[in-house]
Amino acid sequence: MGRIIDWARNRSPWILHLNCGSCNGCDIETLDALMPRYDIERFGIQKKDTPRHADILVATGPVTKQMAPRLERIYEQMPEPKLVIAAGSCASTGGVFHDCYNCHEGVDDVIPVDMYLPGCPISPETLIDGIVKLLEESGQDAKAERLAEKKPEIVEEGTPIDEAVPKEPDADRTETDDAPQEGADEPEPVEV
Amino acid sequence: MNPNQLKSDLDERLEDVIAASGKREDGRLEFVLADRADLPDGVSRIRDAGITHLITITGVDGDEEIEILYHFLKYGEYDDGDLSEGIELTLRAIVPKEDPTIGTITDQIPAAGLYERELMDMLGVEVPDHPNPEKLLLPDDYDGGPPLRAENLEVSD
Amino acid sequence: MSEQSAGTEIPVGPQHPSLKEPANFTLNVDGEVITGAEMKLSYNHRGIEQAVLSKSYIEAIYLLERICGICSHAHTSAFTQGVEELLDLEVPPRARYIRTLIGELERIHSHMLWLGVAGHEIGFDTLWQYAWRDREIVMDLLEEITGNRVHYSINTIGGVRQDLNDDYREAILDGMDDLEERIDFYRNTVPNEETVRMRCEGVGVVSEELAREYCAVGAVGRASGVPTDVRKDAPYAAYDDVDFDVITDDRGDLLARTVVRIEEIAQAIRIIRQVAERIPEGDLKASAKPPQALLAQVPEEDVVSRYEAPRGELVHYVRADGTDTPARVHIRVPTLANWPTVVESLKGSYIADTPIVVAGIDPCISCTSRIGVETDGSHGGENAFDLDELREYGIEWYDERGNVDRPSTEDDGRTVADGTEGERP
Repeated sequence: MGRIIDWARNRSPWILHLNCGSCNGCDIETLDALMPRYDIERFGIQKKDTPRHADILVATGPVTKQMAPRLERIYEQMPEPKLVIAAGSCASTGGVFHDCYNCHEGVDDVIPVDMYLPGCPISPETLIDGIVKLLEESGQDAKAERLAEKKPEIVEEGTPIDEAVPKEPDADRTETDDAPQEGADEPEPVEV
Repeated sequence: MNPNQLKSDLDERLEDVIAASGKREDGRLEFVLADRADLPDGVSRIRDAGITHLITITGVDGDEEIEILYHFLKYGEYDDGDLSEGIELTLRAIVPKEDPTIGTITDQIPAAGLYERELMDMLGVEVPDHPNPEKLLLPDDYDGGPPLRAENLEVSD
Repeated sequence: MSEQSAGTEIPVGPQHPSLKEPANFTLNVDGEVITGAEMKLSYNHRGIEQAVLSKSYIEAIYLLERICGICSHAHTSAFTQGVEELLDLEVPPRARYIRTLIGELERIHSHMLWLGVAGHEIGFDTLWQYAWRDREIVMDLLEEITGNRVHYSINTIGGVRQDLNDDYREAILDGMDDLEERIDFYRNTVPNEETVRMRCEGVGVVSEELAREYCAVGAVGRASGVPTDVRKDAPYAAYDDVDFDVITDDRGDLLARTVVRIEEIAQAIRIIRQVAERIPEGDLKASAKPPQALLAQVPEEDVVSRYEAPRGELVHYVRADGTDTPARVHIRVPTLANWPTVVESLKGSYIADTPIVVAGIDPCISCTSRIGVETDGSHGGENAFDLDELREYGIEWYDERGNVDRPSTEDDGRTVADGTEGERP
């Protein structure tokens, strides 16, 4: 267990994004955070496709009745320590859909939520802010500090867009340009 | 062809199956079917007039009956990047609530398939000869009545 | 591995099949080739058409705006235009120009979003990064003018809520110059790029006949030679004041759809420039009376309001009953109209083509995220995928084979159905 915890402590959070009946506004803004202007990959934040490799679940949408069981199952499959972000008004309270017959009133109707992000939709900056605050609050201060150190680039209108794009048109931006995170190369399959 | 001309043409073609026809201020034409059994025939005559685009099918819950609106578009003329105005028309069929069935038009207009399924889900209209009458929008285990029927609306004031 | 047999069924689930979800997409395959598809849609069904009936026409704008986070202006415009017709309100020219401006900016952002998504589906992530980076030019303009990057809420009944000042006009014209350079780049490189040609040329063909039979709309219809465009066939906002072309293509394949969308961005730039240069002075609203007062006079009538959303013909049907809440609102989104062409164009495609064919109609992301594929391994590969794995499968499959001959599509005895079923003869 020790090795797993060390690995989890040392690298940046990996997020799993789940659309629970959203209009796609929050989803696109979440994906936008991966794009050159915001580029959360250079913080080591990666978007994962399976709950088994994710630290933070970013859920959007009011949670339609069809999605509720899937949301629960995905939450169950995430290994500890796991955190949940309800991104946007709909995920937080049901938003404009709170009184619709086929919707729940937000993600916390279905699973526990650790952080609520306001906005309709959220903006990519809000997501990054939210992740930093969440890590701080959940006691993962080292990670939060590391991320916060790099935040000013975005928040203070720092990096011009052109500089965020690689010089070679063929470069594939899947690597961060940091020193590799410890233990990030060979993720342990985390079956608890 | 302008809306008035099209209306004259369709009035003639549909003469024996419609109870009423009209033209709205915005140019949209309306035809009311006298008998719902004439739906396939009416649609066939509309298609003979060169109108092939089915925009959608809308169901509306009246008091004693359900109205089913078939919205069509006659395309404009296309010429090298430019397109002229089209003409919209609506064919209205009425079905009683005690027997809310209507014939399918998917054999003439395959595009109607999904719209008829939506009608079945949301308004509880039955389309007995629909080739694939599966639920479209509602979950399979939905146990309420058709959501857009007046009695099922949770309309708060 | 079971023997290859004609008509093997592959149930496709919304999540990984091991979660035991009901399938919502079934592919019939013969080896690698899809011979039929049965689609059962599980949309983001939220119950909006019911909820809107307890909202006033004003509140309804904000609810309907959130049907979709990509084309929200399309929804509010279609709705307010319909209500304005019911109330016989004449929206002033300046407001109509502003609506046109926001509508075309939305079209650009949506098409660039699609370009990135399409790139991602064929493993061309660089295109994704480039397209979404350049899309920020438009996102910034929208935020500057309306105050939000998404859900601009610019429309109200009778007109618009925000004005355009000279700074914005300058910013728009500068932004269009920057964007035009980028679009020229995409126009020249994307259709000729090797990966794009390999994955899109001749793939997912929808003939003009099929497109007309299934009443395809938007870029999907136009790429198959069906010239429909609500901006011309029923002009609204300021579209009869500006010059632009309706872009069509006669190939009907994915490459055609790509080219049509890129060219439409170029046309949108053309329209935006005309609007920014020629916008007339004047009021922003049809009436100085507050909307509540206007709504007291709504007649008992109905209206069909059509709008050319980025994905195609959007329809809002509104029936009023004399009160300030609508009696019926029916919305038909363009994606629904185009789903049957996906099923038809999957027939005769390879399993590996599934992600890009589905993406080709530019559906809501949430719809495609629910598509998974389960196979019995008869095609010689893995026996269960979700959409992400299917995307990877497609990329690797083409990497190994390079340009492939398209499977022959003899008459598959397509029965008259609702477009969501396919049967072997």
